[in-house]
Amino acid sequence: MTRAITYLVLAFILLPGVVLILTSFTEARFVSFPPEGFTFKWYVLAAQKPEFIASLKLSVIIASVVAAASTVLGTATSFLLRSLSPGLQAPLQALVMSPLVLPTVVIGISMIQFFTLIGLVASPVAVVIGHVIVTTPYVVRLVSDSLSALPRNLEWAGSSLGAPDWRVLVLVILPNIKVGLIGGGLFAFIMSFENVTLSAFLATPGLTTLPVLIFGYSDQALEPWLVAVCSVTVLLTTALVVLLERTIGLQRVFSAKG
Amino acid sequence: MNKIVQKVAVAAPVCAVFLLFFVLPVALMLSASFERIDTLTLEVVERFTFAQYFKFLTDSFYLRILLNTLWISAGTTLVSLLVGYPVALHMSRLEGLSRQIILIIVLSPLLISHAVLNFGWLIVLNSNGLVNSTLRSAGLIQTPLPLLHTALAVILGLVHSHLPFIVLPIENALRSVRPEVSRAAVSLGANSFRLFRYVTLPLSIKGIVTGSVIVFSLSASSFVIPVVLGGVRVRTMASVAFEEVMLNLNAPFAAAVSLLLLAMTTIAVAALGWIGRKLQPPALVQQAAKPASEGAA
Repeated sequence: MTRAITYLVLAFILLPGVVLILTSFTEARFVSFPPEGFTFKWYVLAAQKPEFIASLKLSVIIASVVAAASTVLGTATSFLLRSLSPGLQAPLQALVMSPLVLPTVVIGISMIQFFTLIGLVASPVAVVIGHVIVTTPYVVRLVSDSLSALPRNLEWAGSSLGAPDWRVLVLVILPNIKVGLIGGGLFAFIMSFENVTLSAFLATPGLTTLPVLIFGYSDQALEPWLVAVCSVTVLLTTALVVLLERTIGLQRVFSAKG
Repeated sequence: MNKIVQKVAVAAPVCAVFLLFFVLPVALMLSASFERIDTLTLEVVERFTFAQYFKFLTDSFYLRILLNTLWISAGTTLVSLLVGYPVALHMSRLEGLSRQIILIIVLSPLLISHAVLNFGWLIVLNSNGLVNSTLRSAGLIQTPLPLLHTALAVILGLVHSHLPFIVLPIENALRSVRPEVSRAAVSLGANSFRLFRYVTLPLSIKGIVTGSVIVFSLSASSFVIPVVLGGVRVRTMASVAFEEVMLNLNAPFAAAVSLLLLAMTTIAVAALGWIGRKLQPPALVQQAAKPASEGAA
């Protein structure tokens, strides 16, 4: 009984992705289901659309910068949290984790107002800062997890054998939390790459990330080349998801604690 | 001494980033919600007034949107629970690769952009989409059903993208019940209904509450899905806030609406937590049901 329901629910979860991939091969000029015939022409057409190429480029650049920045910031925060006394740990934890608790509309509206005020509107820097704020908590969660699994004895052994702090960090700690670092960076990349809720506030014409481009088209006639674009992102994310599960285990990212 | 300098050197930039780019903007937004601007010139005409809050709370148009938001998020939470619970139950009995595969599928909507998922649902719900084509070729309908731009379409999209948040905590709660507990109930003569009603369900209340709280607050504040699948006919507070700041440039009103939304979800979350505590079995029972390694005090 639960098995049958589970399979039905899994089919429901996979439905929109599968439908996107199937319809992207349609020969019809307008999207309909079931798709007619089989062709790759919409992928070719999408690859020739300058707006698609530009937004894909922007998304990849932003996501890479965000991944790098939030990994550095999140790792620093994790080290700090570990070394602080419990009295100082709690407020810092609350400060860094709060972007996960607040509704995205609240964050979005506050940021668009703030960036307008300081004159940083219509700048990719604003998008990067916004994404870093919402992805860093995940990095902190993953890196802190790896750090807490690392016995302190290893560091003490390193120091007592005469290694200076930076050598202990580079030769002992970092290699041992590699999984948390890579997982955190990868996850931050995906979260930034797929983000539309925050980007929709910060994007302006000429500064459209890929999800915002797709979001902007959703109230118009469904064009097959956009479906091809969507299907590419579905396949890309699926590959990354499997990679994430293999490296760190997805559950750790979303576990309720933290 | 050196250690303290080191800590401050790390703490300063970390705190600065979050204070400057997160706390300060939210504080500014809070203060902006008490301003009133001239909607034509966008000049601030009043610094401290409850005008924005009054505007929302005294207009039946906006109050209807508030009710709409409430029932859409409550409906999403309820449907997610009904759909997600069996999945969590099934997953909690699995180990290894089969569980891993289900986990990946369950989590996948979180990692695909809502904009992309919306597009998929558009193709499913369109007048010549999957559902309507299937029904028409089966001869069940003549004219396509208007599925898009309904509250149902919005709930469908929201359930889909928030399901993981309900499955994971429930599975977690179910996993922390030792298998002997169900076996004991069965050997004492409980049928599968009574086993579920008096053993499994009460012991997973914690997971149900955690999941419901997350799904309720996330779906109440989501606007990308309501804007696309609900269109102009189904509006929520988040989509109104989005339109006010992006299209009408009325930032103070948008700020007030989103803060009212925050207040509403906070109250709902507190209520859910209270109900959860009432329904939870006594602490002693919960403790006894845990696996030996965790249960031993």
